[in-house]
Amino acid sequence: MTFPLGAPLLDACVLGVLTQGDAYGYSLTQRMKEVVDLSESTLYPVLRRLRQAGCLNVYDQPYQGRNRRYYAITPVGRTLLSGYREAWREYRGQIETMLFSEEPEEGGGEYGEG
Amino acid sequence: MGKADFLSELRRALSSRLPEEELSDALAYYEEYFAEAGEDREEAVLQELGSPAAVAAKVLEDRGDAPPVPKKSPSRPKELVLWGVGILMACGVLAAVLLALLPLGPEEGAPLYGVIAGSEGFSDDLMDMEAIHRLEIDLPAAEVLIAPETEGTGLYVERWGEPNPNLYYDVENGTLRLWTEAWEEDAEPSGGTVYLYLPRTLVWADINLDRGFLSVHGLEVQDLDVTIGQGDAALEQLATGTLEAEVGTGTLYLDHVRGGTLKGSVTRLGDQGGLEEHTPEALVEGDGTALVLEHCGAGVLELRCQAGDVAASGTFPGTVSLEAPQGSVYFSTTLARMDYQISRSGGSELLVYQDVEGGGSNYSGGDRWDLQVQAKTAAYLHFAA
Repeated sequence: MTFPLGAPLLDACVLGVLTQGDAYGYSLTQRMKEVVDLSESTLYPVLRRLRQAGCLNVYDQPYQGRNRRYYAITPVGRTLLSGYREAWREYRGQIETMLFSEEPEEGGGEYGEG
Repeated sequence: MGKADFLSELRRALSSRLPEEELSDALAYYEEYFAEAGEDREEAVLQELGSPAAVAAKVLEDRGDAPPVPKKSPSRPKELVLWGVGILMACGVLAAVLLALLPLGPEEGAPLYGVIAGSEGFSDDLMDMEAIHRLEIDLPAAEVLIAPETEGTGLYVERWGEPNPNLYYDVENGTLRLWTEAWEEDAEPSGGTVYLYLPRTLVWADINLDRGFLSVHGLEVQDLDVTIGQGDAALEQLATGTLEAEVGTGTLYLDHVRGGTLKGSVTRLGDQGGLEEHTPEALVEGDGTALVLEHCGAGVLELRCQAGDVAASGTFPGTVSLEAPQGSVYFSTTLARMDYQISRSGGSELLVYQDVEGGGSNYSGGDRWDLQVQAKTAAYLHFAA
């Protein structure tokens, strides 16, 4: 099973994936679909929102007679991502105190995700 | 349905709802998406995308970000937009007195005796509240509660001036004035409660209380000027061009207030604020926060608290100036495209600062801290004395 991603987490994941390199919509969607249950239509609003917020830049590159629109993370996006990462670690820790409450504490941080 | 049908239906679903640039942006995205997926996957992609209407809904849904700040338009206050829902909900205090409403006659300079509904000395004529566009209140000691006329009728006064009536009102050229006159020398200023139900839109309102409590909610006021010597003010669900609120000793609370310019200042936090029973709980239970903004929005925001804490959250895309020379500042904003200038006291320490570094920020030293946020993002900061 997978857990649905809320908007902030989705934003965070998009930003995270883009730190590995610029991507176009389709490739980004496929990349994320490997990990989470994501509808094909989900990412456009997310990308647009992040772009408007100054977290992403876009540029077009010709490919087979048409354009591919690439998304690239900006410094603002990286800052936002670092905030998300911190928040996620904290959140994950809190969730795990409930999920694994009977297990010894030193096991924390080693659990696989998803 | 094939890819072409999908795209043309998507265009139709969005065309009247999106500006041209956004429309072509969205269509280009999905067009590219189909192209990348290739003909082999076209069916699968169509399946997964769902109906064009559903995709359109998703695109539109996400546009619901922060509403624009109203523009100041001095001669046409009706253009102001009132945001927020729940305006029609009567607040408990006001609802309770609706049963005892007393409509008053619009006599010029008529003295208002300290009585409740049904007492002699009052005309039963309805005051023509529709004719009121401006409001001027100047009282030494009072609770004043102002609400839109959907929640009641006219002007209602309770407990005033015993034994000597000294509260007066008149309506002239659309201006409702409430004032007091010469009580006997050395006499305690008499006081009471005024409930005012006004047309939703006012050109201006000037409210001055030496001591007491003020609540205003659910109105659009082009220029709102509030001065309270000692006591509390709660301003809620207002749209305003310019709001200036000043409290000497007490608390100032703004919730869902949108304005071109919001200026608030509190000199110091009072022991109990003003009249305890009406003080917003958040402030009574608070930790010394004298000036609170929640869910507010402004093009220009200026807050100052001489002794006490300032807490502000909302949407502030313009100029922000916060000062708490002897206290703490809590500030959180979405939609930031601005230069913040936040004064802090000499030895204060910045406790939390995140999500904005990449936008460019610097600490310039001394008692001024400058924060620049390049684009719409979240900012949160807190520093304490």
